[in-house]
Amino acid sequence: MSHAIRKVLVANRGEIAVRILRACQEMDIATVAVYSEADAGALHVALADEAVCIGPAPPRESYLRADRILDAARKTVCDALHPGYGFLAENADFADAVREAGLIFVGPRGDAMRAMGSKTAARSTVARAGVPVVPGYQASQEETNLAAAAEEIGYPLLVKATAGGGGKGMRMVEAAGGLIESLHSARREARYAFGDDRIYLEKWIAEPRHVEFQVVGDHFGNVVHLGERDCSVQRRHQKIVEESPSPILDDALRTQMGAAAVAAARAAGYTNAGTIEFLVDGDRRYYFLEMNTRLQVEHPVTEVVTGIDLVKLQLRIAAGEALPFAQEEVRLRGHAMECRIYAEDPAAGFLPSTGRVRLAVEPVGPGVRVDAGVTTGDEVALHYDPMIAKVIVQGETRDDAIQRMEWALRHYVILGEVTTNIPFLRAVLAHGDFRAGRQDTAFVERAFAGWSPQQRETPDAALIAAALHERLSSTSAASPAPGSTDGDPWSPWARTDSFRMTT
Amino acid sequence: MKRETLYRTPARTYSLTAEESALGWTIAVDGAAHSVSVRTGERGRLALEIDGRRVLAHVASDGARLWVHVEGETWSLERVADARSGRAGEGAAARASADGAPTAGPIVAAMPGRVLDVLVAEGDEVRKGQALLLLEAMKMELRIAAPVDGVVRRVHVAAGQVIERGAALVQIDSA
Repeated sequence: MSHAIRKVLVANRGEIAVRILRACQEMDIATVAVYSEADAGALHVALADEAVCIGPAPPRESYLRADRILDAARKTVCDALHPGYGFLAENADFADAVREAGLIFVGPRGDAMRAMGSKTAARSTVARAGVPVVPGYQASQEETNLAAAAEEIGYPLLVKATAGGGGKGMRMVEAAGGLIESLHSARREARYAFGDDRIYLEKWIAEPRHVEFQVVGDHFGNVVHLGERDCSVQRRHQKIVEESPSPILDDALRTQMGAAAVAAARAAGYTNAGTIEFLVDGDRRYYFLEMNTRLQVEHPVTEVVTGIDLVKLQLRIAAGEALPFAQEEVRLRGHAMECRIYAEDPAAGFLPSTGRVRLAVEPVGPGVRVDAGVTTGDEVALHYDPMIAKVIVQGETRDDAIQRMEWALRHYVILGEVTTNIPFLRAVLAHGDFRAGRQDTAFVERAFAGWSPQQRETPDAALIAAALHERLSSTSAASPAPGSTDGDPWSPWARTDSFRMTT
Repeated sequence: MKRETLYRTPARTYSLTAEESALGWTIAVDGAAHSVSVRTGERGRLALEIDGRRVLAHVASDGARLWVHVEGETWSLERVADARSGRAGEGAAARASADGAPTAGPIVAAMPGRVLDVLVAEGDEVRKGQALLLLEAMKMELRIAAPVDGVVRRVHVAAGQVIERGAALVQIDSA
């Protein structure tokens, strides 16, 4: 059943494409990158053995074009395709099409994706396997039935889209009076976002923790979990800090939830790497939330505490190898933490920030890893996800990991038009509740409502550095006489345009 | 050789003079002198010692725009004038007029915007770097600072006024 993989097409961009390319290089597997016209100069393109342009910048004309990606794979004679995360990674039809084209899809089978892709189907599947799900109702779309079920569940509750994701088609209902209106608006939004207006009801879990388990399954029926990741630190449903182990799990609960995660994955006939997400309430009761049928953004946290390279493991499983370890051989060591670096401007309401990175210097040191998709000279465009890098650290203890992360963020130099959320991440790390491990999914909204970076006088050191930089760089190439721009295309005196300041 | 440069941030304008001697640099920020030694490294790295305190900085620039990373924080600056050459730079919102001498004509708007506040009156004595006007342009608040020490001869605009590119803002007679 083993098929050696010799050449992989990476159907993604940014840091995850770079991450996968590096794993392939280590394994001596040839690589093909695909890219949009906007990404011709991107890091992932430069790192691959071959690269194929698949269309214009907008994702639906390039990274979401299954036909062009498959063409590229055929033309370059690849035998496998890794989808990364996002774009087509959880598209079951794409997974099937890749296999029909005679390629190995590095991920689960299409039917396992379908079983877990619909939130209601996933709830039924795992509930049958004995995994606790959030109490809810999904038996009917009739308003009278839904209203009766809502009374039984109790308020507040959530109306959620069956095809949902990313908070779309989701409504919180405080009391019975608001139910019908919320049903209608959730349906409208779901129809628009997913082309499917089915909804279901779920009990509202107050101030939950988001704790997810990494699972891996091979083609021989082995399914193992690799511990948890606590992703409770979220801003507008977007995870920003993840860690393992979770500050609220002990060995007993970890064993229990891990077994539930394995049971959920088995129930779906799941193979390759996936993630079972749980909500954990204030009484440490856990409920299945959903399954992500792909590699997660935050997978390095698990790699750090287990010492297992998940991308290499994915490729080995896809090639037909058996899991090289059993559950009892998985050991968690130390504490791992990840911060997501977003190109956004915390001083301007966290709006996406675009432009060129003039200088990037990544922090390097013991226990510090940076997975970056952009480097010096790269352009951050508005077309794609604003997450440009992840900083991952390992510490002996949680406190040690926080200290190391603080060091790493302080030493991550990203200069240019692009601004980042690093000042915000540092404020989160410094917060007392986070330090105490008390974060839940409402922590950021609660503790940082209306937050913006402290406005301070520019320190003399920054001004002195700027002045010296200019003096020292102008002595090597003598600056031209005022008014003359001959031979110096970069002279500020020659500029006739206006430019923005982005402090 | 002493030479003065103005750097602007959204908050204010700073005057920097730098002079090199056998002992190192003397750099004054708004007139306050610091004794500085520097070693340059790769990729915009500067190892500074400022009045005996060691500071590691990284600097990147694009024309008159500069970005500095120092002690974990990032600062954005714009060079607006170089006093030695007596020529105003191409400021984001205002620059000196035609022949480049900052004292010869009114300060004009380099992009359209709106006057938020006028901070000086005709006849006021002003110091170089002192804020004269607050403008809103491209959704940003910008301070227009005096390019020289002098007296405000004429204020051409009022708070609330919408201005076009090239509009005269303030005329200053240099001291």
